[in-house]
This record gives sequence, C-alpha cells and structure tokens, in this order.
Amino acid sequence: MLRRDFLKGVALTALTAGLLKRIPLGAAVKEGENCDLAAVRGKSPGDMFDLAIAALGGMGAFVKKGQSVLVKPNIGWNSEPEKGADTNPELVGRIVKRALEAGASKVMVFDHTCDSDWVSCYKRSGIRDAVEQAGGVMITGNDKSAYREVEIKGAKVMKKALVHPALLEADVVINVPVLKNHGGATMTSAMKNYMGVVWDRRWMHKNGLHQCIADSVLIRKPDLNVVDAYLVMTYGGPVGRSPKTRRVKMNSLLASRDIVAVDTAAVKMLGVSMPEVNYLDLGAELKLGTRDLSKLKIKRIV
Amino acid sequence: MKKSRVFRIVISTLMFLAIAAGFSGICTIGAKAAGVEFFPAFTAGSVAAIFWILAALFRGRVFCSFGCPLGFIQDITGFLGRKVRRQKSVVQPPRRMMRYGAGVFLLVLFAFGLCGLAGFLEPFSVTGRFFNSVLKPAFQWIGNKSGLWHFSEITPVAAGLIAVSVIIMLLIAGSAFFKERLFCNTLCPAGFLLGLFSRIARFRLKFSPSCVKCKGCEKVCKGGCIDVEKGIIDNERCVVCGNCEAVCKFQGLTSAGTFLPDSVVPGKLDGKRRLFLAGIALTGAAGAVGGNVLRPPEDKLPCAPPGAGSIEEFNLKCTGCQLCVANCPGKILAPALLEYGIAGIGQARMLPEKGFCDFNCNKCSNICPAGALKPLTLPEKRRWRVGVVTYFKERCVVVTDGESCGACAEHCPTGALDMVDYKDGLTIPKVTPEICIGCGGCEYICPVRPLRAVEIRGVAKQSMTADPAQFRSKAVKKEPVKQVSADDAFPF
Repeated sequence: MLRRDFLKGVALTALTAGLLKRIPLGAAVKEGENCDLAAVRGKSPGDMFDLAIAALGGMGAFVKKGQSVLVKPNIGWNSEPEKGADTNPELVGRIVKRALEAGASKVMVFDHTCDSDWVSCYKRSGIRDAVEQAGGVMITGNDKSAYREVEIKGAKVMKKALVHPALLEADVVINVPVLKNHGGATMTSAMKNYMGVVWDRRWMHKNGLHQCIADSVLIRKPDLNVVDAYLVMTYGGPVGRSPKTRRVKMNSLLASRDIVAVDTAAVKMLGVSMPEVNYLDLGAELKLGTRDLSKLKIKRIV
Repeated sequence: MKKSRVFRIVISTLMFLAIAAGFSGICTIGAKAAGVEFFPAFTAGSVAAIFWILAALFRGRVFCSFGCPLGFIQDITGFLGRKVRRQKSVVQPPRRMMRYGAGVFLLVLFAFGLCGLAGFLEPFSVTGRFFNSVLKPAFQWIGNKSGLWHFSEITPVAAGLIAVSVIIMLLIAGSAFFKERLFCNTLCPAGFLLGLFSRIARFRLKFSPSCVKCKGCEKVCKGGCIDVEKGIIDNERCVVCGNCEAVCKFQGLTSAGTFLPDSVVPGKLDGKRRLFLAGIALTGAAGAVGGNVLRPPEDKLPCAPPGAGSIEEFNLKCTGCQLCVANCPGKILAPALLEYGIAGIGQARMLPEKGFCDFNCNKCSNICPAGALKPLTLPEKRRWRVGVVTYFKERCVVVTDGESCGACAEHCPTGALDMVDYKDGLTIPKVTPEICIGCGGCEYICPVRPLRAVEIRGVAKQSMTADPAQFRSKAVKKEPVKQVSADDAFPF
C-alpha cells in the first residue's frame, strides 16, 4: 500500500472508530468568552454556522450596519450538493441571511467557476437558489473584462494579478470553502478557495501553485473563514468524478478569522500529511496566520 | 388574395426570427427549428425534407419563400431595391443550364464529402456562417463599445472566415437588391433540387382566360419567371411569394389543378446540354476526389463533435452551418479551417482553447439539423469518446519544476486522468485511456506552453468508452459513505 493511502487509512479509521481521542489542543475557552476557532459537529450546515458565529462573537462582530459583504463559496464545479464538490448551499444561504440581518447593505456571492458553464454551476450547486432566497445577489465570476489588475504587496511570486472587483470593493469578505482532498494540492479549503478570485489560475499552476495560493490571500485577507466539512471528499477530489472517489460525512464546520489556523485544523480533519499542504507553511511565512493551534482559543461544539 | 401574401410574410419572419434566436445560443427551441430547413433536412433524410418536396410537387418551391432564412434576407434587400431604385421586375431568362450546372456540381461535392466547401453556397449554412462569424461578434462588439449591453468576451473567429462570410453575404444580398431571387435560381442547391419537383407541380400557377395581359404580375415577380407576352410561368423558378396573385385585379392567375403540357416550360435537355452537365459532374467528382486526398493523417485527426459517429460520416453530412458552434456552452466547438482537409472547411470540430466539452451537456448532438451529429442521451454522452488523451510526462510542470499542479485531473470528468504519488509528496497524472472521452478539459487547463503536457487526439470512429465502474478498485466499490459520529472528538 502506498504511504499516503496508508496514512489516510490510519487517520480515517482512527477518526471513525473514535480511537483518536487526543487531548485537545489550544487554551480553554471560558464561559461567555469569544474563541479564535470554532469547531462544530452534528447539526445541519446552517445551524452549525449559527453556533460557530455565536462562539466567535456573533455576526455583528463581523458585519456592521450598511456594509457591503462578499461571500465567496466554492462553486467550481457543475455538480449537485450531494457530491460535496461545491460548498453546501444551505450554509451559503444562511451566511447571506445572517449578514443581511446584521445590517449589511448588500451581500454578493460569486465564484470564478472551473467548469465553463458558470450559469449551470450556480444552479446545479443549489447555491443560486439558496442565495437568492436569502436575499443575496449572485454575480458572475467568469467575465474577464470585469477583473482588475492589482499589485499584490508582499507576494513572493504572484506580484500582480487580475482580481475580481467584488473582492476589492466589499467592506467585509467571508470565505466559505468546502473541505476536500485535492489531486494536485493535496487539500483544498480556505486558502485554496482564494484561487477563485484570481482570473488566471493557469498561471498559478505554472508558477508554483503553493506559493501562488499563499500570495493570493495577500490581495485581501478574508474577515471570516467558514470551512464546510459537512460532506468531505477524502479522496478523488476536488471534483469527485473519479471512480476512486471517497466521501466521508463529517457533519462538521470550522470557523475562524485566521485563514492559516482554520486550514491547519482542516488538514487534521482530512487526515492528510501536513508537509504536503505546503501552502500552509508558505502562508505562515507571509504572516497570514498561525499554524500553531495550541496558541488559539478553540471552542468545540458537539 | 392579399391574405396569402400576409401569411407568407408572417411565417417567413417567424421562421427567420426563430433561426436567428437559435444562433444566439440561448434559445434551444430556435435551434430545434433549424431542423425544418430543407437542405440540412435533405442531408439528414428527415421528414421535413419530404414535407418540402411534397409541397413542391403540390404547389412549388414553398420552402423558398416561407422557410428559407437567406430567402428572407434577399426579400428584404429586394424590397429595398424596389423602393430605392423604383425598379420593376423584368422577365429573366431561365438560366437553366447555370442552375443545373451549379446544382449538379454542388450535389456531387456533397456526395463526395466536400460538404464544408459546398456549404458556402447552401442557403442555411450561408446564413448560419454569417450569423455566427459576423453578426454575433459584431453584436457583442457594438454592445461592449457602446456600453448598452455587455459580453465577457467577443467570440473569436478566424479573419478569413469573417471575410468569406461577409463577401458571400454581400454578393447574395446585393444581387437581390438588383435582381431579387437571382441567387435562388442560379446557384442555390436547395432551389435547384426543389425546382426539379416544382416543374411538375400539380397546382402551379397558370394564366386564366380572364387575364388582360396588363403585365402587373410580371413587374412584381421576384423570380422574373412570368412572361406574359409568351404566356409562360416558369414554375421551376417560382418561389411562391404570392406577389403576382396579390397584385392581379382580374383573377388572371389560377392554380386550378391540371397538368400543363410540357411545352409550356421553356428549355429542354438536349444531347449537348446533357454532355455539359455530365462534364460538370465529372469536374466536380474529380475535384471532390482531389479534395478528399488532402485529408488529415490518422494520427493527427481533429476531434469531431460528440455524435458524429466516424469522421468520415461526419464529413459527408456536416454543411458547416455553425449551429452547434453557436450553441456550445463549453465554447469548445469551432469551425475547422484545414483540420479536416480542404473538404471540411467550416465544419465543426473541438478546439480546447476557449473552453472544453461540458460533461453534462449534449446540446450539439441534439440540435444538428443535418443529421451529421446523431442525438445522444446524457448517459451516452458522458461515456462517448470523441478523442483520447496522451500525457507527455517530460513536459509536465510537476516533473520539470517540481511543483504541485493537478489541474488536468481536476478537470477530468471520468477519472481517466488521476493523480498518483510521484516523489517528495508530489503527485503526477496517470492515464487510464480506456475511460477517456476526449472532452478536452485537461488540455484546456494544462498550464504548460507552448506544447501542453496533455493533448487530445481525435479518433477516426467515435464509440462508448469502457464503463468507469470497471476501473473502481473492489474495496472502493463496496465502501459506503462513512459517517462520523457526533461523539467523536475533533482531531485537534
């Protein structure tokens, strides 16, 4: 058996059998105190978000009255919600709803889809309906002429890029990836979801994918990251059309201001080997966040 | 009498609008309407062709005034011509040899599979090519420039194709400005074919005894096929526009059904003319054989759209109308230049430059009016092979730069490209050609230039791939979706 498969197997078995009852990392969170990272399990995606956001200090801590909000889910693929290739629509809809309740002037949602028919991606993923029902606005991410060239300060490789204007203009950015295995980058979660704000992803693949992913977060760090780990593709991602695809219903959700921290927790959920998700190291080097979960106040809600 | 003319104008306008909508790429009903076009239907051998032929045997070339989009365009420029130039139609010579010559020549080209080339004169394809290569990009450009509407991208079309489409349209519409349906009665293959049946139409027009020879009908005849002086109405050229009946105040025209004696129809095929036509046919055949020699070699075949069957069959039927190209949501279909050889100029092929074939789309195969693409159901289409991938490891960015990528496998809808362990925690693609459908997703997204690390080569004969389920490892096949119980602790 290949080393990687073996590691995954071990991690998954441990996870499912409940053998991995380790001593939890991080400082204890006192009653009523806000945490740095919320991990929720066992509810519907929308309800888990409500619990997580309450633990982080409530939606009002992120969205002020009159602010415009961008919610950036992963809608990369023309795929149904039950496949776990795109972010859960209920979760996206709930975030839009809560943002509007907190007084947001406008909530926009987009992704630069990988499948070429973006209209179908928006529709089939269920995200369009969920967002529109919640009162948000779907905008296209596949219109090159709308993208603006920006310089990325502090970037190591991708020093400039064509970036979606919504990311640059929104007052609040909420990054809502779905946690998945990724054939090339090993894991896709919060940091890799940022590829969807850049026009030329092919260039990123060409010039050192991991560094470019880390660089892309520098364009505009998200204010909140909500990782959808409800239905997780543990192998055969990111699309799951491969016959070898495996999915695990983890019924979980992670949320944090810190994009590196939330992805570090996600790596452990996915059970992949940490060094392979190289963009986390590179992100920590760029001071995008911390990989040291023991320094964070973590609230686990099960 | 006027009613029939109004009816014709309404129907032809609706047909034209439906087809224009079909070429906009957003109206599937419009695209389906193209199925009633005579020449594509004739190629496809569909019911619509039989309908128009029966109509021709009954009354005449009804299609030319009711169903033909190019006829509609000519009617507009012809109308303008009449208003601007205050021209009146004149009796035109039958030009029978020209029509027969062109008709026979084009049919020979079609028969030998030079359809892409012959499509430059087939009325539906002429219109389609003009819509898709000229009007559509122009519409997009105007919108983007003026800010009135917006397109994310102006459809790229080869300059040569734009030029040829514009020139042909200018010549045809321009000739109509001066001589109305001149093209239809000289070069049009649909006009030629339907004309042969119209010659013996049961209820064609003839002069009735009440005709006062005022020549009113002659002056409004689009085909110039009424000669009052000689008492001739050449039904082979009549496009059944109804102008003559509408203008006649004396009920001088009647379509009461009797076979007219053959002598009424001018022009006969004598020995010399037969020889001339045979010569034309031979020239066409020689040209067609010559054109077919210049086909691409087996290992460099382009990918024909899904449903084409074999490239050979496809080349025999596709007239290059661009309907599938205009309707491709994946933007992978494009008109061929010389990929199929000279014979296939303008025929559709897959080019993973601007996009790739959407796994969940079977639109092209279901709208092809010419039967060049057989309808595929979605489950069929998802396993339908149009080409097969070749992976060039030495070009791959993972190997050359030691960087993660996986873009190709990400875009692979079947798992034919899968990422497997390489070294230092990196993964590289592994190919399972048995389940590759050739959608072009991998080639489209591959970041390596100028030569890409994955390339799709067309297959001579399209077929279903092996069932991807066969390639599932047994352990995975049985494995249900795991559930993590709520009691489990987080692994951090």
